[in-house]
Amino acid sequence: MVLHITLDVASRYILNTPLPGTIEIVINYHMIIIGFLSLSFTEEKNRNISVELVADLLPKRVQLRLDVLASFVSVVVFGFLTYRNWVEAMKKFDILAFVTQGTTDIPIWPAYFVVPFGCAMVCLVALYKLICGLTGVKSGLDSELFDVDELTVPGEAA
Amino acid sequence: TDIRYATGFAPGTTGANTAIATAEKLSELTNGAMKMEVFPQSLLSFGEMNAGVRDGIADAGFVLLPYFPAEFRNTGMIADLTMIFTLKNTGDRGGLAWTGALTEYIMLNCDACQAEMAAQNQVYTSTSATEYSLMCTKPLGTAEDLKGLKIRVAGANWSRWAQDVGATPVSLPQNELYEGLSQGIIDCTISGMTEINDAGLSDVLKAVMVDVPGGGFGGSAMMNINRDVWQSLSVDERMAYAKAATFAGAKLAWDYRVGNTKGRETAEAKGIDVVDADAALRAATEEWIHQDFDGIAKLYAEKYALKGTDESVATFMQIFEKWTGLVANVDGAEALSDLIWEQIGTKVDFNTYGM
Amino acid sequence: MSNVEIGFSALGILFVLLAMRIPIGLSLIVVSFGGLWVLIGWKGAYGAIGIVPYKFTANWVLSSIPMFLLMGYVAYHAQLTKGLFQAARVWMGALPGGLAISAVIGSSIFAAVTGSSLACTAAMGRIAVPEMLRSNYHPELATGTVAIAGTIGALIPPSILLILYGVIASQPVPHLFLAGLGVGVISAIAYVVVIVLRVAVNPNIAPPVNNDYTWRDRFTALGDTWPIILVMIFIFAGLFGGIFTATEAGALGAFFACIVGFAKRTLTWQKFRAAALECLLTTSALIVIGVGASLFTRFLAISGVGTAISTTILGISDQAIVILIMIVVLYLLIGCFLEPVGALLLTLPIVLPIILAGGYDMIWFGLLLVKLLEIGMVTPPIGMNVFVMKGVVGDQVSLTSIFKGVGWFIVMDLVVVAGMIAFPETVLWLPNLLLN
Ligand code: NA
Ligand code: NA
Repeated sequence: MVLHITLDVASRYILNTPLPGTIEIVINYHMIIIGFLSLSFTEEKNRNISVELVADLLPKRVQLRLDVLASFVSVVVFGFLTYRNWVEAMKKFDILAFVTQGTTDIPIWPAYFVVPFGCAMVCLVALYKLICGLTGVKSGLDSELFDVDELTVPGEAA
Repeated sequence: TDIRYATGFAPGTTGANTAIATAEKLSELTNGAMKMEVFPQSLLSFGEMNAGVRDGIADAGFVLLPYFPAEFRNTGMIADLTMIFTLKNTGDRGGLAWTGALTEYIMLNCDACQAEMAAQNQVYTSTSATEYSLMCTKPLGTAEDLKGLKIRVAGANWSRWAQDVGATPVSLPQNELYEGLSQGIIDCTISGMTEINDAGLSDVLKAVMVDVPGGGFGGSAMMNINRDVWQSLSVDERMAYAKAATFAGAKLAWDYRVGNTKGRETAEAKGIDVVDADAALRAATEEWIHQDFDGIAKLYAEKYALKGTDESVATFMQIFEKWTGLVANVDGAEALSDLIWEQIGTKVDFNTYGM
Repeated sequence: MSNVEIGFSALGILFVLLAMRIPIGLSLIVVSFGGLWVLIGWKGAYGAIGIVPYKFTANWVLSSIPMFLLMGYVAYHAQLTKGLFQAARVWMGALPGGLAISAVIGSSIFAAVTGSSLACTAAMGRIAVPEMLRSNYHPELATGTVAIAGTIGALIPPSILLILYGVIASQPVPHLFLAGLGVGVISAIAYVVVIVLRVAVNPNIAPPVNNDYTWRDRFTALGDTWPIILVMIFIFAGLFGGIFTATEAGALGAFFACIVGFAKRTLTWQKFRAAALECLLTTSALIVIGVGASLFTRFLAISGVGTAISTTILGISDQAIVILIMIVVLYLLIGCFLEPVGALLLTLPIVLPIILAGGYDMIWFGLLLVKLLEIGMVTPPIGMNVFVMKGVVGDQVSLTSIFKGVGWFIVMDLVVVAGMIAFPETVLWLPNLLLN
């Protein structure tokens, strides 16, 4: 995405011709892929932003129960999102949805399938965490990030 | 009955204010029995509008057909024909004529258009259109001036024209118009002159060319209503809704016409050149449009597998021609609304339309 | 139940879910879906969750976020910051509290290549705090300065918070960025004033440091700052000098930071991978909340709760200042407990109608909001910048000491906030000057 936009700007200034369709490709492909394909890693690394305040005051045992509850909600919500966005993607597939840029048509229907795929991955990760939480088996997920040290705190975009 | 109406226009804009006026109209037509709640930008954006009305998040909404070229292929082809403004020399009444013509074409003449509306679970009721002009940060007038310009376009017709005259068509979101022009990302935009005031373009523009390439925005389905909602209404309610929708299209078309006139006045007051093309460029453009129209029918037949495109284009041209005459002396939104209702609304059977 | 009552019930359920530590994005999605189902029926609710995730994400303004994130992470991992503090100390070391002042200046410049306040604190904390502690600076002053200076990271552009505000409130990002530059610089000056005053009152907290630098040393030190200055000039000149848009600035900035990092050989493939992964994780975490907030906005709109709340609040007093003070206090409270991205996306659907109805300038309000949320980064009990600082210093300084250290700076921040409210034109001066 960085390269794509850089090339677009370079082409605009050097050749006086922007790359056709940059905006549409960036938002429909790059953004959707970045947003939804890395979603399951976010779930795996427990990087979803939540409000810690009240729960932190509760005993450790209750906190673990809450983690199980969060996994359960995650399974249900992302399971439903997977189904719903699959239906939506099929609608786009049926008409082979595209956007028109200048005189060319850019197909965007494939991008719609990224959403249910990404949601399904999250659903699976959450389901695994839920089963581990219920059975007390230690999760084999790597919730640590390699060598990123203190930057690794939820909500760091702020 | 309460109707949830969504529009992608921000609160306070011409588009949103028209929707509010339409809600009052609907209430007045039904003695308060039908109410319309307007959600400007808060419920659905323009990009979400088609699916949003289809799935009933809103009961009705302002659907910009060219945003959904795959869903609305037949209607989209007609929306691609607005360069007819230039051929027919409709000046500042092209948008008014188009408003009547497209409504008549879709409601009375185009079964394929009706079918694609139905496939999106919607019922079409009205359109509003306006003329676009070429507005640049460089001087304009001749074919030579156009070479190498980066022109922001909002439709395929202008892209084809830009390429033909040696300019580069660029797409840019509407809200980056000012930024784009002031930062040289684009040299020109083809938009309504109303943007000179609305987007504050008067500081950055040098010249406006009114007649070439011309054309306008002709692909709005302003009051599309969810089909299930439509079918749940009584026949009187359906007729009242359609009447209010007619008013909406007429009012917005008229208000844009006023906005364009005001934009032109601002431009002239600020010393921006408001010009027509020279004779050579004008002739070349007309020649190009003729060829392009032949191409459009062929393009849509081949690329999008549409049938009878030549006849469709011919039928629409005839209807448009008729409407250029009908709107010649119209003097306001109410008059245009009455004219459209008399020409079209009274000929629609609301027992069966959209059922 | 009326629509408004349904809306308020949903707000109540939302609080319960949040208290049970269900992630903010999930909570918002659950409540909005349920709420829409009750208000407009199954079909509409079912429709909404199929449309919003894609359409929220496929957004041109939003697309600048991953790029600014990548730029910040690359700048951090490639240690482009290293020379910054050194150069500042060589020039400023002679002043009372010179090292602390240098840390503020270093943070302000690093702010120009990172969108976040935490990255700023982490980067400057590692370099400046050990040096201050070695020079016998009081630990409270040393850590407090760097924790508060980090907040400048979200004010001086680029700023993830300002971009998110721009997306949700439909405000132009360049205007927000220019206003942010002004507020960021004013904040930095205000922090320097606090340091000078505190050291004047109690010179023991910042003993003078050995500072026999020649002019030659001074210019050599500047030489080490070139990578970051180059990236900064490139972005600012492009963004405000009329060469490219915000999204493009992000892409070019990230690209440029990579080139500089690889050229200097401080950026390895492994570090680049770490930076890219961080960028992806943060972006998708943002998108989940964003999708939730976007659904929630529509639910609130249909229920009429937003209008009800704004009518009530605006009805409390016809004095604009009273309403504003209420909003300020509210956000200071929220800031104590929530981190800014969550707080911003969670509250904007409710607060924006008030601001619109009250007729306030939306650019100005965006800056006020971000400034308030950033104060929340250093207030107890949840102060993310302070936690990051604690991570850097380990057992050397207690959490309480760091919170105490930022105390005087928070007082100064409140003065800055009061100034922003009293003289809104100072916030809008830069964007008005350069963009209108
Ligand atoms: Na920044
Ligand atoms: Na806090």
